[in-house]
Amino acid sequence: MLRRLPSMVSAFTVLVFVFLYLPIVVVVINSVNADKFLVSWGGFTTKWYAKALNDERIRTDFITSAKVAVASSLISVAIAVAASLWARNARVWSRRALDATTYMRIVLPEVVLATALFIFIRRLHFQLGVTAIVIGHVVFNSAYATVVIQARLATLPISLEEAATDLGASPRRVFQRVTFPLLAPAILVAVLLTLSFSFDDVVSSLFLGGTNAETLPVLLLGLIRISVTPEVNAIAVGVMLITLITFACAAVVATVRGSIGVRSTPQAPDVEE
Amino acid sequence: MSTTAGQSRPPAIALEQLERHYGELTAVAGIDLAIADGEFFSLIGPSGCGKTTTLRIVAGLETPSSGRVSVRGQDVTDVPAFKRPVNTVFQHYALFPHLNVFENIAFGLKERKVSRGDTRRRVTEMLELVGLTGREKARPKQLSGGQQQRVALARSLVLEPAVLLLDEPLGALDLKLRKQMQMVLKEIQREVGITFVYVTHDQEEAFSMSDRVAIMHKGKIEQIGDPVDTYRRPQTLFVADFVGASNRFEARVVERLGSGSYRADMGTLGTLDVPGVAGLAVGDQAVAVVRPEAIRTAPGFGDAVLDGTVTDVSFMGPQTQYVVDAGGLGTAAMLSPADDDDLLHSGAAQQFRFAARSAWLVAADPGPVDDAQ
Repeated sequence: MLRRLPSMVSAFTVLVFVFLYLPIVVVVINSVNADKFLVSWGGFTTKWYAKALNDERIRTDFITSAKVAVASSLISVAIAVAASLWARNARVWSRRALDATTYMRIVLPEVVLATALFIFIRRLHFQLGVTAIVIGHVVFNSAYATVVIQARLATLPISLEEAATDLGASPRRVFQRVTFPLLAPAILVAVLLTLSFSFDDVVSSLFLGGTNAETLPVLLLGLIRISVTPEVNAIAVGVMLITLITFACAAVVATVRGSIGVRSTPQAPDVEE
Repeated sequence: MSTTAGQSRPPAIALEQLERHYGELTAVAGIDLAIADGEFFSLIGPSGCGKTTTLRIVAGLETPSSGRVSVRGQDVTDVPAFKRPVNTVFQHYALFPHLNVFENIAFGLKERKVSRGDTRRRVTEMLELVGLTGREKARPKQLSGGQQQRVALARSLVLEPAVLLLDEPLGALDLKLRKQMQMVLKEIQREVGITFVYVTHDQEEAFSMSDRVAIMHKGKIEQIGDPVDTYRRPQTLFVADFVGASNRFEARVVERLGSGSYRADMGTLGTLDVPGVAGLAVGDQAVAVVRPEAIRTAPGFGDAVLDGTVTDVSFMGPQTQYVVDAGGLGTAAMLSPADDDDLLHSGAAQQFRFAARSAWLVAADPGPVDDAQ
């Protein structure tokens, strides 16, 4: 029997959630608040959004963010698929080495990775900018993608690919006709997940963008240092929506995939003739 | 029944000195085997004896450490799996979950670039053969185990392979369905005339379907022959045990009688004339194998008599199995048909009899050095 939690604990939990989400709610409200100084409710407006959309810098940064997200997502997922397929047939020690680097990239503080990459890129006299940010995002995104792809791959018996080979499919055709279609849901989830991780990243983007490239979250960080203008709220809500929507898509794909994979349709009884 | 002798056609499958090692482990320890065209051949043995590895080497899914594999006289040892004229039915069917029944069966035809019309015709024929007409659109998950098995069979047979390899295909089915599928498999094999190489650990299953069986043990073939011969004339103690329950009585060869018989001193059972494996010498320690169904209680039956007490009775329907404590001779098992009116009861002391000619002499187990054969 579960003992009832003391009411203090419940109250504390509620308080934590209020502190976590209230600021977000305030941001959303203020993004449509007509009061320019954001001290009181001045009526509903969408002019801050219009203003943000018309701002040249914001538009450029949005495009940069999108470019970085798409590029880093696709590169990461390609790396993840290749690594996962390789790991399946690799020797135990090589596989452990891959797992170690994968989890390392997730566990290590991003600021450490970003600093290291920053120093490395400067040493090589490589330019900071969009490419550098993409590389920085691939470092962690490829790790998350690998985890997603490997989880799916673990549920696929190797005999399916053996059967395809046995039926006359060359290795390339086996990938086309069996491995890829069966991995497709996981690949989609990995793409959406890495898109959203990339889109709201600040640390790597800040370190590696230099003066050449600025992403939306970095712009936000710069703006709030001066003052929280109404447009800042609008941009924040925009970033939040884009991230949330991609993440929600990933969740939907994952659930649908899960229900196909796990919930078996009621089997016809084993009656023959 | 087919034999390889005197056949002008090359064998469907020929294995020469086949070996497969995994580091220290030896899965296949030198196999020579020829399987005739059109034969239903079974590889049987306990788990870990190397039968599945052998099958996978023939399929090309596993590479041999040494030795050659030929299919219809063509050396395929270095031919990749997807180019070999053999197909496999996997233990758990390995049907493609993202494709329906039709697409599963058509999978290999598409790789061979068979036209749409031909594909439709051949798949339809196969569905008819395995009795799944009308289920084209079903996904593998929506089928019962037996039906999935048929799809796996159709998917391989539609390619008209030189040889069909079956890796414990009935392992996941319940007993009743297994029996039915055994009949289905045998019928289909006769109908299509394709060589079947069947791997199972179930000797009864292998015996009921096969023209010939090979019994494997520790990566080697202990004996090849037709089921009757294998059962009646096992060449080693291992085979005698594996192909059916057997009673063992110690024996010492005292005279070679010719025509495959020996006079053997069998202790309290007396001196009996028993047929046996070739090559036993006078003075050799041997084991007389007696099948449980060869033992009777009828007075005057046979020429070997042992006194014993029934310690256990298991009524199994068509037959009743008894466990008998035969004193210094150890325990023995007896099977009697159900129409035997006088069921014995546990504790009954009785004379048990068998005919010396129904016993079979094999060399005594050389002990732990089993690899020496």
